[in-house]
Amino acid sequence: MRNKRTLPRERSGKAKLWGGACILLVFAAVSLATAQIAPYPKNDMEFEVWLKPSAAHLLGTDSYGQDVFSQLVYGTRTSFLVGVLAGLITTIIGVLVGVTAGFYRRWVSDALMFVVDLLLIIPVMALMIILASFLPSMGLTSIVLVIGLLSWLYMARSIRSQTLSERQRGYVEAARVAGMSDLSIMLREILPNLYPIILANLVSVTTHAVLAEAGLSFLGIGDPKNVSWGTILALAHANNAIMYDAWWWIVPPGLATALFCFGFILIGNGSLERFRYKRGASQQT
Amino acid sequence: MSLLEINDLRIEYVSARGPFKAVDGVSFTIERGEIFGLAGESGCGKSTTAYGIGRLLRGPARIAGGSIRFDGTELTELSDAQFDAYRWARISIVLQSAMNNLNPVMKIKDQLIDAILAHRKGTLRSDALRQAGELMELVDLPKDRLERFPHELSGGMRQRVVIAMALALRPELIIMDEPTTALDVITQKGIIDKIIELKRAFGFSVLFITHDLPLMLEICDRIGVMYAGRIAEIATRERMLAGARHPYTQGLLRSFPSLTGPRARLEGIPGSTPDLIAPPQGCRFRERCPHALPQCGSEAPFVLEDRDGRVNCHLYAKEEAFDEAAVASP
Amino acid sequence: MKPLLQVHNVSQVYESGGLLRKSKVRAVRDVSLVLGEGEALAVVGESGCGKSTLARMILGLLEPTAGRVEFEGRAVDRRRRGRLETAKRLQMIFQDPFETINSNQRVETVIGRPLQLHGAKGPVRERVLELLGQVGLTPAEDYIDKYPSQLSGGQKQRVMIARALGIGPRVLIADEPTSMLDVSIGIDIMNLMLDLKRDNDLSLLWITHNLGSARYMSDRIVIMFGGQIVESGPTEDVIASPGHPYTRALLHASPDPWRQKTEGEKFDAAEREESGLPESGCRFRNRCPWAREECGQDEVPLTALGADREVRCLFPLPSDPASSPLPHEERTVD
Repeated sequence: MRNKRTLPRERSGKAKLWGGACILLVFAAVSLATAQIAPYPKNDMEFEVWLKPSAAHLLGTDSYGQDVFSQLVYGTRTSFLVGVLAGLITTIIGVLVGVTAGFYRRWVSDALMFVVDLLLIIPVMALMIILASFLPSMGLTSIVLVIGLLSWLYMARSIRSQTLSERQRGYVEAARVAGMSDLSIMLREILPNLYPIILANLVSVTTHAVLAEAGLSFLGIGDPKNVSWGTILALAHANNAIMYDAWWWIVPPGLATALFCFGFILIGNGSLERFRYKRGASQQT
Repeated sequence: MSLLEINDLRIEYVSARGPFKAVDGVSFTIERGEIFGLAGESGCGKSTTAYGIGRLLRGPARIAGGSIRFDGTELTELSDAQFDAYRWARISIVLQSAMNNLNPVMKIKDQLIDAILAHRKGTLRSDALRQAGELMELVDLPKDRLERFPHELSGGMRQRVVIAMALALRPELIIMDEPTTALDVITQKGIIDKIIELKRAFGFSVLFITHDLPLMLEICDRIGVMYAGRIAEIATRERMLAGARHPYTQGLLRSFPSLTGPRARLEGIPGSTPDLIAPPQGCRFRERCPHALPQCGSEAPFVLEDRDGRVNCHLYAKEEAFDEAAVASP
Repeated sequence: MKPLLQVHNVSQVYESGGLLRKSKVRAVRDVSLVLGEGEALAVVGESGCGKSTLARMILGLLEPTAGRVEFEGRAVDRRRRGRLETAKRLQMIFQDPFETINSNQRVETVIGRPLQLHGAKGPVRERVLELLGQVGLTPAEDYIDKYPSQLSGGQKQRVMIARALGIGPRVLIADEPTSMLDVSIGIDIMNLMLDLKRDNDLSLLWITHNLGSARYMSDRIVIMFGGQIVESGPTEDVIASPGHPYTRALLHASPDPWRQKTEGEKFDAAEREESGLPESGCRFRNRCPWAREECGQDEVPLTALGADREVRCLFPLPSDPASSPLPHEERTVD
């Protein structure tokens, strides 16, 4: 029976999905067409400093004479790539570890969780800094790896506990009786039931990756030649932009970060709603 | 005057699509000292009726109309405070999973005492303890179990505790909603026997709700069968054993394999229950009824009341022209 | 009749506890049974008797701590290589259709995936439609794309039956498949299983606590109590004249309002102790109205009772119920 309560939920789910997708598409487009969109080349420092936003400089200039808007556009590519790629790596590792630890009990699970718990004690940011300092160079790949390889811990725990509870469910035993192998059961029976929690974690992990990148850049770790929202913020802070009332230097990168994360959140929630609507909400009397 | 008189009771759940009429015009009476059974399958409204009588309905459920008269007093007109005087002292209730809902961190003794003190304020704790001991004896439980926790008792013993609680203030009516469904059949027999014994001793009435029609036919004096929020038939046990009158009851009886008699294939009832938000016109059982008549689809079922009980069915509208044998279950 | 499934002296002992204090629970004790081709055998017992554990051992889901299970003479093997083969021979219908169906899969996947697993090449939609028809879910096109949340309990169970059927087993084990459904739907499911058994030449192992459904579904019956088989034989005979006091207690307790009752009958075999059943002698002796001193001494073996019946009792009830009056009357002394 279709009742009024589910129809709006379906529509709201769709709306969120489309809304989030649009936002991310905009960012993706900007990332791809940086050269076309940015009015001035990267790191071009020939303009007057501290200019307020105008027709020539949509977001003014910074204390080095760079066009803020161009910086923002180039920075979009970095932040977008790092966020998405690190988020993906984290998710893949987190899911693999989590599902395996949840499905196979006894020593596999215990060993994995021991490692995770050990690493979780150390603050992730500190770990990243330490890891980064060991690397010879901090290119984009390095940053993605540093963030990706250390963020999966929480996710693994979360996925593992959900897997543990799914494992007890009747359909797992029914799948065994039907003759399915362990691997098959994990991937084809249990994993689809984990989509909601994976999605929730994916959103969280990706937004954290973007913020982690911003944080690392802010702290000065990372490629100094690279431009990202974090580096813009770092420079703005280092040059006391606040004292100069240069809001056009501070607000845009922060806003861009927030908007980017929001896009992911919308997609996450939207997918979740549509997923639940299809699987559980519709009932026939 | 009957102990309990339900008249045209209507209970509905508010939902986005419109009210879900879980109980739609139910009427029956329960006499003093009688065991009255309310039978039906899931969704028929029997538990909702019980909750309505015991004022346990919550949330989107509400009584939409009709009357519940207990010993002459209209219960629906009482305030919550006034109804509290009835709760447990005159009407008590044993729910389906009550034995699993005993407080796991309280000793049995304390739970019984709580029940007594809550509904008869001013009782001395020592008195309540003594009464608790008496109650345990009544249900054949050793007094030392008072010091135990619920998880230390078996399912059957926990259910006995719950029944003891329901008896605490010697009510006149005990509502029992599937009290033995979760128990093994031998344990069930022990508890049912005990309930009957207690009823004989104390003279209370029982509203016994279950889907297990054979069980009901063993212990109830009169039985009401509900279908899709309405009563299909009310009959004495003897009448029903001789042959149910409503096609649904007949179908229901054909769903229980028997232990004696010939081993024949049972047919059950084809189809499924109707949507109670937009129920069909006329008789709600029409689509599944092997004897449906044209008027069953438009007119509300004819009500026949005689000394054997009541049947809500068009088949009984024309008494003279009607051949009851043709409708009787094979 | 050719024996298809043979269970030889199977036991299951659970050990728990730490280093110092290990406690053993003997859930199934030395159980043997035989299921022939095209036969229906009921395993009846109340909760805790070990019947579900037995089912899992037969299916290979659980390794017996002693004894072995054989199908057509070969051991049932669920590990790695034997997995598919065993699944192809032995299938199960579970008690709770709401839990055992994966709510994330459409009906087509629920039924179709095992089909593909067992060798079906290419699209299986046609076969799934056919199976849906066989279990009475017609028109099949209406059901094949639905999610479980759109199906009723009875429909879910039919889907699970179709799934099991599609795999093409020789033996179908049913563990109380109707206990969570309304009775009128339950009887439909039971009739369906009887029809499918007949049409597909299946053997059926019907596990239940309900003697009525056992009688309806089976030709032979086995009664379990405390992890042991206490009685076995043709269903009609065992029910008409039970040999073991526990069987008699079960019969007496099962509601049957049309049965002739002896006046003042009071047979109370209910469980009183929550501490468990005795380990020495007959496990039923604390609840048995006819128990004697000898019942507490040695372990009671299964002995023959007539041509094709067995009973685990030192003093089995005679075949004429009237000559073994209930305990409150005079005891007959053998």
